[in-house]
Amino acid sequence: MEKKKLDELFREGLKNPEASYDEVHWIAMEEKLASNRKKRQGIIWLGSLSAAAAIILACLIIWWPTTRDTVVEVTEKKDSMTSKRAPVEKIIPPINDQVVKGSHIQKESRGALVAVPEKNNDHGAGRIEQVLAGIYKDTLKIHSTPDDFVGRRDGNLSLAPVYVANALLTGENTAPELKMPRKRTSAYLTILAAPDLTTVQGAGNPQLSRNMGVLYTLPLTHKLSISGGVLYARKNYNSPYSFYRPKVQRNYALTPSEVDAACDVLDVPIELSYQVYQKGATRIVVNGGASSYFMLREQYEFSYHTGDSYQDKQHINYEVNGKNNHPFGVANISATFEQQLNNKVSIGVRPFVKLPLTGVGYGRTKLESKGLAVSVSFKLGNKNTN
Amino acid sequence: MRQPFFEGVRNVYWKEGLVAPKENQEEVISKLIQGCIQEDRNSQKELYRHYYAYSIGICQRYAGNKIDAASIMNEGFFKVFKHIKKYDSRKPFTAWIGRIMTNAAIDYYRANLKFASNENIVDYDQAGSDEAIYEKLNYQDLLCMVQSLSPSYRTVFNLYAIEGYSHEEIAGMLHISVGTSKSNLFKARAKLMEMLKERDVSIDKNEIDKNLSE
Repeated sequence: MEKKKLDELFREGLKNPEASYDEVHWIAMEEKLASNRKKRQGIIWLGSLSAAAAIILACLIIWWPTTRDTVVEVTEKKDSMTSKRAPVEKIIPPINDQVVKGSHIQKESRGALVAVPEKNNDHGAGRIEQVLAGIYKDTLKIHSTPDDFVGRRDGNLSLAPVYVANALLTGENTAPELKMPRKRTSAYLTILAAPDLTTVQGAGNPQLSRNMGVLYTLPLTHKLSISGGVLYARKNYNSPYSFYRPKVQRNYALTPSEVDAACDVLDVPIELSYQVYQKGATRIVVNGGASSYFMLREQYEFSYHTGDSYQDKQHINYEVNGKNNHPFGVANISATFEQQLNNKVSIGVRPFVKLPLTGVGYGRTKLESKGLAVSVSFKLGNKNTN
Repeated sequence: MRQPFFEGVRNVYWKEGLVAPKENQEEVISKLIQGCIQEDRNSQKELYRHYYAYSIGICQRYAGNKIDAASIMNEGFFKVFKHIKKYDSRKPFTAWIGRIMTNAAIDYYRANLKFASNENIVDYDQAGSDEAIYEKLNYQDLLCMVQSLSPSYRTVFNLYAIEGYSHEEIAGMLHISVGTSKSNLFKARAKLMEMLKERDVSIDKNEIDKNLSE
């Protein structure tokens, strides 16, 4: 037989493959796609984390003068006694500027503060300190309500004189740094708003969900605190039905292929926080804990493949209300980057992950969320804990 | 809560009997492609289902068995989904997918080259589907024969005889010499011929024609 005929026999014979669709192959394909997406999500996640870091860095730079102010004033006081830190002198010029600027404002309002620039011009010897001590004793009373200054033209100034005044008054080496963390020893309330990406673990296809709520934080020690709260979350997630493990398994003539879920969830977290870093008004806290999920309303839309690719898919809706509660069903891990704006208010960003400990909702699905929360914290109680 | 659920399932059954208005196929495909660009999982699945038979048909010719064929196909589809943005909608989509599948098969061939011996023509007669009934030369018979070729013969035969590449092109694709390509093709044909004779099927013109008309 000629080559051509042989070739043709095979070419024509193999033209129309006999192969019926095998769902198993798609499942393998889906896993392949999901794992790829996971990898990419990792990159996106890393990206958003670094974006958060950049924001924090930007905040640090913007508010740096505040921080530096306090530090320098404090160390300047030290200077007069021990002169420990040399680099401080380098930072002095900008402060001069600020204080002078500040003093203008004060000149308008309070005569007692005229002494401020004087102090800076002479760069502290013991003599000036004495003079200052005298003046500051007077001014202190005015100053001791520093909140008055906040929101005025130069909020920066509000912190600085207080410390100097305190330090000068006491005249001892009561390391003023201690006073900063001490401020935290009062409880505070945090309002959180957080978008997150929620997905059924392993299914890929994350959906945007939103969370909102309040957290109450009670300090245990300087660095350790405990917090609890309530968050309302609207979780959207989409996954193949194969990820659903309902309590009551039923045999359907037709198995749904895809499930779209939208759940209203009350998320009640309890977590322990540890402050890992603090400088000036900035601090970083890591939080770990568990959330209880109370499923207020679960709405599912099951999609069925009818086998005909040109026919629209069939949908069935299913709703459960308040049936599924999962005490400590989700683990929370987050880090808070916080910047204190003034004595009472701080703002922060908080990247977080919520990892499933148990299956959640009707389908016992392993829900996973990653997100970035924006928070505003208010110190509770007006008493100064110093 | 459960009742409506069951009822719904029954509804699906009932509705299945209805004839849905069929859209123009090209329109459907381009919609699916749009969906795939958005990485919509449902569109991906639909596209996969739609091109499943065509794709696995290509991959089966290059693979030694169905499992390998499926893994080549998935590798191919992975590339399809990944690069779907680059698809030029003016060109036929089928050809585009076909090219990707062939390339996936060649990648598979290259990756498995070290495990496959070139010259060994062992007894491949029982390779392929076990329960096949060889009464006449149908798709499965032919596929089985091609699959029983050694990988290097099979790949060259596929590329040359079925897909119409030249020896020069094949040499470039498989990183072999033109001479090797020619000799592999020669041996592949000889082996296939041998198998056809073994099956005791007379391959005269009538038989071929009969096959063609099927």
